[in-house]
Amino acid sequence: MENKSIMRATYIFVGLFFIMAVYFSYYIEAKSDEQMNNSYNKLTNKLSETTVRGKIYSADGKILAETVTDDAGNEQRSYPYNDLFCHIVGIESYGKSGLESLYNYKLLTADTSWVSKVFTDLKGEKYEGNNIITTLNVDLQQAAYNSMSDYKGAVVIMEADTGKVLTMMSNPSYNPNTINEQWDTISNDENSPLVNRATMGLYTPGSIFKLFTLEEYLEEGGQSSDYIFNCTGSVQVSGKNISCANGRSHGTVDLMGSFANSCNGSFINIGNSLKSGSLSKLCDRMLFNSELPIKLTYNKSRFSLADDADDFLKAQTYFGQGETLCTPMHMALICSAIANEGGMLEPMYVEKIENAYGTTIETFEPKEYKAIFTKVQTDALKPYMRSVVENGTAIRLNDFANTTVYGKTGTAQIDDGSKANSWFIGFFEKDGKSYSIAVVCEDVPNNVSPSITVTKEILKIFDQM
Amino acid sequence: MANIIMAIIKYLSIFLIGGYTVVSFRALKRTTKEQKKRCYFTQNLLMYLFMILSFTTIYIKTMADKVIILGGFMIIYFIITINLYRVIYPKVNRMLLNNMCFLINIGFVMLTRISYTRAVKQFIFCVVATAISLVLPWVFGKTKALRKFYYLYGLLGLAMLILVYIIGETTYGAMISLDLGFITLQPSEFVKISFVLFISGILHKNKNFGTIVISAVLGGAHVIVLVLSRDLGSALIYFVAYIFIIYAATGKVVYLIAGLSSGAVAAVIAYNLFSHVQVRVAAWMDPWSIIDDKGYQITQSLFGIGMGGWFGMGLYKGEPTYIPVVDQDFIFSAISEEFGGFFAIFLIMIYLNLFIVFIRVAFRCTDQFYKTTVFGLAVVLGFQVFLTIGGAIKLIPSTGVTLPLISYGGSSIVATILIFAIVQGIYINQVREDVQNGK
Repeated sequence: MENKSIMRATYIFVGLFFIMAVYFSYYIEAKSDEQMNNSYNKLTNKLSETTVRGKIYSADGKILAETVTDDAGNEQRSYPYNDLFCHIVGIESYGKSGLESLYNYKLLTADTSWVSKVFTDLKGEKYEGNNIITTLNVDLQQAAYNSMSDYKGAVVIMEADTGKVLTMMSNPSYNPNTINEQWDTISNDENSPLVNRATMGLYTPGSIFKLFTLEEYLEEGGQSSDYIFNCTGSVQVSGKNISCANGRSHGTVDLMGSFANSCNGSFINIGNSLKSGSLSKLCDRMLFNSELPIKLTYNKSRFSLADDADDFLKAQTYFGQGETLCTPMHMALICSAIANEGGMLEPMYVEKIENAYGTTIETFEPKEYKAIFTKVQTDALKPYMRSVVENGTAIRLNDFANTTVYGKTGTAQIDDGSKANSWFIGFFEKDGKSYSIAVVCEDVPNNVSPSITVTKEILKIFDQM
Repeated sequence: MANIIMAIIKYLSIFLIGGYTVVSFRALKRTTKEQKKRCYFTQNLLMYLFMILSFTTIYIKTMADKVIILGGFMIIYFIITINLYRVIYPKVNRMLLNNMCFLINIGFVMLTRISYTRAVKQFIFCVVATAISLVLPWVFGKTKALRKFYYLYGLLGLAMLILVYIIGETTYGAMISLDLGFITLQPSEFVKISFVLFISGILHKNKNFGTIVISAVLGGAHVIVLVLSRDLGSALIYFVAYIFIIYAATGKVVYLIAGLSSGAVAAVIAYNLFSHVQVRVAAWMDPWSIIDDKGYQITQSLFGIGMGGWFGMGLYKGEPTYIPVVDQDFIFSAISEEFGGFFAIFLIMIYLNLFIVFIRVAFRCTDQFYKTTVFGLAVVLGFQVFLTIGGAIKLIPSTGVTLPLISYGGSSIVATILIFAIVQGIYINQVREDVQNGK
């Protein structure tokens, strides 16, 4: 009688308790590191009481960050390369930044066997946190750092088919070893040395934007042979004068010539022939105004051009002045996609994570984010980018023994036009592998293009590597 | 040195609770008196050891003498409680008594770690409740007439809940407490008991359809008032207890199915009607997207559990107070964070063991009223454990109920100790009758 129904009810409750225990165990086992590495998880700060923060290595095994414990047991985070990697490696204090922030939880976790953890515990010692092996290349980073010493700006170099970031540097920098003593000075510096310009710096693109105007023109069926423009050095738009760089007249140019020599007048002409609203659509596809898989703190690039904008603004936009703003990282990603038959890969900063004994815990695989071009489109675009180096504005980059360079230069006038930002974006090939690059130098005097010099200095090192 | 001691204690604690759990389940299978006695003795030994070791860690970390004094008083309380029960009631159910004391013990340790003043308050409530509970088994054994006043239980309980709804104090968005000036009372904790007595009583009288309708109307009124007071957890507990008691008393599966499906319909209606229900469900479905707001509490709980892992961060090595209302609705997460996943699973198993002990008492009862009462109280406690732990680990939406005997809260701990005393009374009475009948 009733005992039977009580028994059945008991089974139900025993079942509920087991579901609870199983789900609970599952959560502990399956909880993701991403979930734990959440800025709302203040418990991670507590981990440093039981775990010595792990090391951060370059791709070739050089230590970029480590925790040193003195005889009294005081821990100090040390960065052997001082300010060289300060933005990408970041700092672990003052709100954390860079990889120190992105992999905070992993660095403060010891993924060793529980037996060894119990023994460490019983010895009264701290666990040794996991080490992170990055994709960063010390030589290239150093080359970028040296060549950028006179300029504010940023350099990004990536492997096109993997998304591995080899170089990410931003100038001005700060020394993370002395951040505690200098925090007030550094954080109030008007040049914002704390900002990683590679991902956060929003720059007017200038002539590098012609890449997008050209792409739209090609997608609408335009061909180099059909196109002729007669450049007189300047054009009139809405009563205002727009001139080519240095007021030079390019004479009669075809499409490739217009791109290689960066002729403003010709690109206003090309832009005016595009379908209404089409450039906005292309820029949406190129991930302006949208999220990017950068993982680090970054800003979204911006593009806006209303259909009813006045002719002058439209003309400005076609050759990269206008209201467009973009980050060096975004441009490097786009160049990666061009070099990689259209597929944009998620940037990778970390190759693998090892525990303190050198056992690999996690390896990261290249991951395609989005295909933003077709192969037909990138095949069409490449000759134009090559011509910039072969016989255009970046001809200085055409004399490497082993490296072939493709790209586009830009000089974006800012404020009243007395100063400019100098750009070079593109990709280069060596031994069958492609790499993308984005270089920007801020506040350079008009008439000079230091970004080409910077690129050249870096590629000189790369060419011999 | 201190670190090594604390590390040893951390791992020992897992062994202690693990040992306790194993012994508890073995005791269920033991038949001879000697074997059982040995189990009970081991249980007590492990429990005192856990208490002493935990307070050693607390002392190492706080270096406060008052902690030693409090811990000393607590151990004395356990020794007196266990032995006084045995002296007054030689037939006392030792399993019930030991499990109750061990759970209170774990609660004391965790509360002392979180807040010393709250631990002291909780301790005082425990002492008072235990003193009262010592006479309850006697009352229950003596007076069989208690069952006759079931309408009084039903109406009085309902009146209390309505009173709370009208003049109650709001705590965390729910109207659950009455401020009596010198003390704040949560009547829904006590009405649980009168509710079970009412349903058991009315069904004892008669089990026809008409009676069930009357019980459903009055029982349903309890639940509706609780929902209106936003005390969702209690509403669910009352509802589930009602359905299961009806099922157990009548033996008809149709009542269980009808009850649970109407409950599901009611849940959907409540979801559409009340924003506070929607908030709970939203925080359960995807707390990560609203982590700075409605999802904050549950994600903090998950951080605690996740960071604790299997072995725990160690007592004082975590920070349970990051979880809002940790000492009440989320004490399980705090335990998991510092004592670890293994410890927490053993804790779940001890609650399961306790549930089975309750059910065994119900099985043994020859008296129908007692049988359904004990079963009803088992469901109340069992389901409450499911709601709290399930809510803390995000298995189900959080409903804001306490973990019996562990969570902070005077009404909760007093009411639970009274439930144990009632079951003890019924058990002792039954054993006495069995002896008289020569069983």
